[in-house]
Amino acid sequence: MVMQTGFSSPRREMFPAGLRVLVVDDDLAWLKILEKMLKKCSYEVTTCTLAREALKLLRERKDGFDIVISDVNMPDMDGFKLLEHVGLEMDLPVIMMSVDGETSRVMKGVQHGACDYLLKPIRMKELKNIWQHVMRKRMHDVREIEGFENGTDHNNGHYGGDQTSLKKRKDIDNKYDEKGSSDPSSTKKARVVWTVELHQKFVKAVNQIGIDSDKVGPKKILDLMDVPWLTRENVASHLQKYRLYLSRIRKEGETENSAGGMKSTDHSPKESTGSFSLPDSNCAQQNDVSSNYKHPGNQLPIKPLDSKLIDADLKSINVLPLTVQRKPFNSEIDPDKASDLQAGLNHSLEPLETSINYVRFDSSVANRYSWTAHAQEMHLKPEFKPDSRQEDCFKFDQPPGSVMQQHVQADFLELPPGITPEPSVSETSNLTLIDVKAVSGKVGGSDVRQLSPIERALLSFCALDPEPSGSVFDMKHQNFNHESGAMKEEEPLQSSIQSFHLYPKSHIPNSQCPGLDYLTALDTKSQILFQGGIIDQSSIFGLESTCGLTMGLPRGDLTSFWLPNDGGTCKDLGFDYVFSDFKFADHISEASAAPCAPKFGLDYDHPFDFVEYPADQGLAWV
Amino acid sequence: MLGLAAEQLRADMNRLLALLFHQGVLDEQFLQLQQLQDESSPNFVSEVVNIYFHESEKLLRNLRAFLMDGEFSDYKKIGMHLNQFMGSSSSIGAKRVRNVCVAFRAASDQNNRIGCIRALEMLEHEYCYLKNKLLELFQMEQQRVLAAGVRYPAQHN
Repeated sequence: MVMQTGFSSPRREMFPAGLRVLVVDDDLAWLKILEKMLKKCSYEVTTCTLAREALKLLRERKDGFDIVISDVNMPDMDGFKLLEHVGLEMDLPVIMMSVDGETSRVMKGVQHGACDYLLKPIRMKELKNIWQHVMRKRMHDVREIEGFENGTDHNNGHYGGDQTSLKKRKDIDNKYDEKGSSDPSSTKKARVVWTVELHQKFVKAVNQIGIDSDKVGPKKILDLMDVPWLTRENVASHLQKYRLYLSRIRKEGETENSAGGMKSTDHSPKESTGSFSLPDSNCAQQNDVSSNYKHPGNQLPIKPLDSKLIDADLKSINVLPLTVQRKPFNSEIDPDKASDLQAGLNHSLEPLETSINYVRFDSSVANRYSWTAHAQEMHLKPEFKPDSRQEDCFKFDQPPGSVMQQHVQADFLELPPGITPEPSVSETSNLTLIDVKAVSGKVGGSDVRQLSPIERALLSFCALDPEPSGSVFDMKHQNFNHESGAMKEEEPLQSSIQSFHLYPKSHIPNSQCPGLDYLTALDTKSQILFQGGIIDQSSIFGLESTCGLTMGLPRGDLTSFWLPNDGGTCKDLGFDYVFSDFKFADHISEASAAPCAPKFGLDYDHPFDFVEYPADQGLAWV
Repeated sequence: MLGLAAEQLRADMNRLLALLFHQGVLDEQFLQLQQLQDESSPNFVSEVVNIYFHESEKLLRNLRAFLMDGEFSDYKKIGMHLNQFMGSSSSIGAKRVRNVCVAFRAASDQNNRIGCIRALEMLEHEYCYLKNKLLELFQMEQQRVLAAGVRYPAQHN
């Protein structure tokens, strides 16, 4: 048996020998041992110690691996997160490993899609069998297609082109070597990257058929989606995952129904920008219009948005133009007009005006997002832009106890276009702008804007639960200068503030983090601060994985920072976004505690340098 | 003569290993390691064990630093370090070390500082014992290899 170097396809005759395994573990001793054991199984082994590294490898070499083995506890990223990424992005079987065999952990692994959960110490015989997972997955996908066939399958494509061979495969579980060309083990599915746009189409198609109807099947979905290069197989496997996701959400949605909190107006989806949320999801917007909203009369003049320029700027960016419907500028929120993806602040919040900005995903190729582009984007919503040039302090009318995060930059750029990119924009930070829903009635205009990918991504985090569980603020373009005083009543959240509600996609009861509020921030790539919410790990994980995944951006580089929110002033930590007032475990949005000084308890055991801004650049608190 | 020494050394090594097993210092994972060693990686066991030593000492240093710090309060961190320690101890079959880690973790879960300190001391003790014994083992192995490598025209001394 020849061991192949590089990332060639495994030789059919040799399967399972030559299986290409990626091992991810921060424990060097285990890494070495596993490598040796796998080599003894005649597998092709690649090792890495960081999840980030692993994702990079996986993305670089699409189809370069057959299976991933990962430890659960890793410094840079939770193993479960990695698991979800891999499952969704690359659709590879993932095996989890851990010292901890506690049922709840194992359960979590399974829920997140792990094929198997091995306990350390791992024996050779366990590794010898991992090829079965690869087999099983391939065959399962084939079967899915067959199962949903509504009619004769005309395009068997690489499946041998006849029904008999398909049936044969179905019957065979371990006689794979019988087949030559139709050998599932050699069948290479094109690894489809389910971009947000693609998924959008998928969900739209599914909704059209009706998710629970019997008729929903890959063929129909594929037809509706009308994506020529997509195969039924791709759709089938994606459908399966989607179903799993839905059932998980539903289950959790049920348990969360009792949670009080704000009721948001339920908006029926206007467009199938469902991202990962259910069609009837409740990223409802609630926009309370504040009477003290600064009138559009003060808008910043913004140059016409030159989308071409932006696109050119962000060539490698996977930007999906989203539309978010703007509410008419009246004091009423018109649910019908609002897109379900418009995020809003809770009713209980004092009115906040937000503006919608496009979010551009910076692809992993560090594409620096320019201010100009952003400014140009702002043009699209002129009425959303109050005059933020003034040194006003922004008052986030948050539920009590929520923290207003203000990102103070010494050289804050005003929104008006023509402002050249801020030199302080760091190379490393992806200036992704979060789109915010501006659903305030005051905010005029009725442009329908599509949600940006990140917005969708974040909103995809929505569960069935209509209650919003927090707001996100884009800190990058805020000019909160609370020195100048003032928490002016008449100055609610201004245009550059983007905020919207996020709903947890998945969370478990707050038993794991009793009574603790957490702030979470993304890592240097994309600094997001979660603040003031009751967050448990799985929901952050869910959020992060969804963000990372659909944004395609941080490449899963989401590090969590937990900052307590027990009163005090939160300083600007150099975050790009602040997720404020998050409550995942329960949807009671009113936070009781006053904003607090952040304490940085790191959830992950790795150092992280915060840049703390001096107090005078601090934040204004509501 | 040396040929005999090689055999002697082998016997001594086996005896030492048996003792360590008997004492519960090592478990069968160590045997697995030995089985993985082959011509392509003749020093596999000692390489892995050395990695283990290196990582463990880092962890132990950190743990000690945490507990000696009067203001230390983040027991979660201790827990995480212990998880790591347990994980790597399981890689070479360091059973007793791992067991002490379990007790240590229990103390840290209760935020019991005194308990943690005691557990740390026990841990350090166990670790030192293990390290000494393993080093002894490797030394014997080295000598054995050397001895066995000496060839005599005749097998008998």
